[in-house]
Amino acid sequence: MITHELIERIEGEALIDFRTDRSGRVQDAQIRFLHFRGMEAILEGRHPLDALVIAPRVCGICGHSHLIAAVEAIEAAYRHSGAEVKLSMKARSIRNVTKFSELLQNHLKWLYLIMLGESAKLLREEHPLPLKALNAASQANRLAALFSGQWPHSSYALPGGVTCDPTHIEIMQALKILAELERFVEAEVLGCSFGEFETIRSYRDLTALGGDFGKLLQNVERLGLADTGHSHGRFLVLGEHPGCRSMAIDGNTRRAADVANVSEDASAVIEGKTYAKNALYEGAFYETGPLARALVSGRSVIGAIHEAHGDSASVRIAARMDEMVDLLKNIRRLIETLDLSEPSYIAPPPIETISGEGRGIVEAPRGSLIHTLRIEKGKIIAYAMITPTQWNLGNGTAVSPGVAQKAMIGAQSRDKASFLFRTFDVCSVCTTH
Amino acid sequence: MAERREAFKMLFSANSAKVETNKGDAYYDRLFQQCRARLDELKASQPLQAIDFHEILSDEGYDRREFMKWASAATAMLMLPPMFTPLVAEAAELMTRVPVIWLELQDCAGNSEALLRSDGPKIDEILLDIISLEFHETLMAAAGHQADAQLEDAMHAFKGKYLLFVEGAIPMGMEGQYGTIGASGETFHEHLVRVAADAAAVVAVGSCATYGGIPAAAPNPTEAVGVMDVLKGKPIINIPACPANPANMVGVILHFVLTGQVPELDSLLRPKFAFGYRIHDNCERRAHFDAGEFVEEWGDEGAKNNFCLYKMGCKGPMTFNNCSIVRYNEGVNWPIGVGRGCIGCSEPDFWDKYAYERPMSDANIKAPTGGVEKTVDQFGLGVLTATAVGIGIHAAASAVAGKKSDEGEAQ
Ligand code: SF4
Ligand code: SF4
Repeated sequence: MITHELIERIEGEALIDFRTDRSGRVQDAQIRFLHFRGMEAILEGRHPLDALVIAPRVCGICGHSHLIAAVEAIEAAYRHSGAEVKLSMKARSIRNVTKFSELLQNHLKWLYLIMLGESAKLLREEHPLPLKALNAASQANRLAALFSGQWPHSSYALPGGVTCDPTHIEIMQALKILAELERFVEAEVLGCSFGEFETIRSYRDLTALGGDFGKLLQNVERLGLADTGHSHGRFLVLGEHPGCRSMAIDGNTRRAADVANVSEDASAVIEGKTYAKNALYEGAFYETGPLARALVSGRSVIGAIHEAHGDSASVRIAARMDEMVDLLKNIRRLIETLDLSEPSYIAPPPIETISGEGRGIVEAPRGSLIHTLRIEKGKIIAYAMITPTQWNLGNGTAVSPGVAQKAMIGAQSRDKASFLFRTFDVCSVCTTH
Repeated sequence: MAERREAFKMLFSANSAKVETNKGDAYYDRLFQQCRARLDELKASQPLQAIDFHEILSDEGYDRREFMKWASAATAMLMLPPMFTPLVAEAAELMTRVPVIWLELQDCAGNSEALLRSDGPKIDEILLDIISLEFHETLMAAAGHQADAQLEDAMHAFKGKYLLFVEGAIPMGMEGQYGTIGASGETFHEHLVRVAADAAAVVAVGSCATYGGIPAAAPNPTEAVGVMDVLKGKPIINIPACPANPANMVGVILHFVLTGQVPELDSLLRPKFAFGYRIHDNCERRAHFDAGEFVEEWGDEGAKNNFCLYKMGCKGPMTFNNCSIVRYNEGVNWPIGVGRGCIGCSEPDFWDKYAYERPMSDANIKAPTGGVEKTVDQFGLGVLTATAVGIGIHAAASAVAGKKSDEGEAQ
């Protein structure tokens, strides 16, 4: 039987065509994204710095990641054309603080606005929209806005640095917001201190946690989904991230990843099917995002449970939650070591003199985001984006399914398959751009 | 927070070049009676949700005094005299009785994201949580066919009464196929027209829904347009900006609850309470503009001293919006606060005209709306001389601005 199912909420809308057998078990699932804006065409022909205003607006939830990808692509074009562009440690750190804050708020919303709600719905339980979670996510946004001016859609990064010049007052404010966030994650999300969390090595201990993360894992278990949702076991990190270098993992083999092996497949685009292109590494589907990052950086709790359970739904969930703790730690380190006496901005040569190609790669909340551009004498000649969700939500065939597709095949029902789909943190907005 | 409330009050009680803040006693008396009647009527209606607003407030740690302070700031924000404060408080309590349907079309979801955290006193956030959002893809529990059914139900049950919020542009190219919704493949255009038919009023939120936004940027690949370009015969309120400030979304709902009408709008259908003055009029760097002190290069001494960003491409003088007072993310900051300058995101075509990072003097663009000129007149010749010395190009731009603005007003 073939049925269409709409998946909505953050972000936008996806349509899945399920093929099920008589018992309702999922045999195949085709994922479709039916919106298109043409962001790449809009960027072409413009002044390169306009990308810093337009690119963040690809996505209302990962706008910052797009900003950083755009500015790094322009900086790479400088270097490609032989010109120098310097970045102070301070500018680098501030960009990372705002970027990590964006990841953090994304993970909070995913947990509270999507996963807890959806799992409760499947269990036919009540799940009121928690004000406390909205408030916590707002604090993460405030942290980003403190340095970047606003969230979403700030444009404060420039080739050569950032426009903000924080004083001790902003640093104090940032530390205060950060402390609030840490308290929230310990008390509400984990239900234990970071110290206690770090000693955890087993899946059982994670599910026993008293916080909302533990509750989600328990819900997943009650739904019988904990050890389902396995995909290809192939993982990819292309951008820089704390503890991460660009790397591809396939089963037991790990090798340095080369962005030159990335390709896009547009065979399913339009034709009445979808506006999402597939992103491939060495011609195959690889999973990107928190689980990939946790495995590449070797974060111990995720490594241990992945070893025991593979890339299951619950391990995927755990990786996103564990990343919250990791992000908080890194934000604190960056803010505490910020040297305010360094310049925020070091002027590069005028962009009108630059002709070259550049690529900016950012580890966004859902995975590796790539912006590639070519500039000729201060004008964008070509602009291309590969978004994180293209990696995870691309369509393959029944024989060679995409990452999320594979995870859904075999699910007992469409509802359960849709839930597994959401463990990848779906976003139609940037998928289609 | 407290200072911001005071700032609101000062702003709205001051004389402004663009907005008439005092319309005379007779006007306000009439309006007061009208609001009273409206609130009584709402009170008699069935609440849409069984919610005890005051219980939620006290759970969140707000007492009555705190709530009344919020109400007085909200009254000022809506440009109403203090005698309306008790009515605004009552309207807040009755907000759950006005159904809201929210549609997402060709968008980035940035406004939904903004809606998730309302700016300003945290009471706004609580209000947003309890307004009767009968349909919102991001926030509601239903999905898929269930969601379709829920939308149908809401449209039917609240026929003629609901406020329709629209986020995102409408792609008209390729017969609307760049954006379709639901399993039936209805185009965004068809969907909008159908859901708007029985709305009391339509609120276009964000620059995409108001003027086409980023999707409509040249070469406008999908032929995107705004709500007012395709909907006729309905009251439309535009809340532009990218993203729109949630304080203004709350303001519009509150005004509708209070009066049963749309707020006073300018020629671009923007509520005057929010878009009646320019960023520049209330900018924290304005003193430096007036003194002719400008950032000349990113990261220079002027930047460190928070000088004016006009020469770095700030579009504050051309941009009507209240972010210089409301700011973003619970008031923590705004673009000018981080030395970035305003990109004019609440103005039509900002994506092609103002997104441009360079100073307007290099951009070969004429300032379209209510000019520096006009306000400068009010501030007196001394200021004009100072700024004209500061930046030669500025005076020329203003002259054009003044003309255009008058045309705009006459429309
Ligand atoms: S107006 Fe801006 S925030 Fe809103 S949908 Fe458009 S691009 Fe996104
Ligand atoms: S030009 Fe911009 S920075 Fe300068 S005073 Fe006006 S709004 Fe503020």
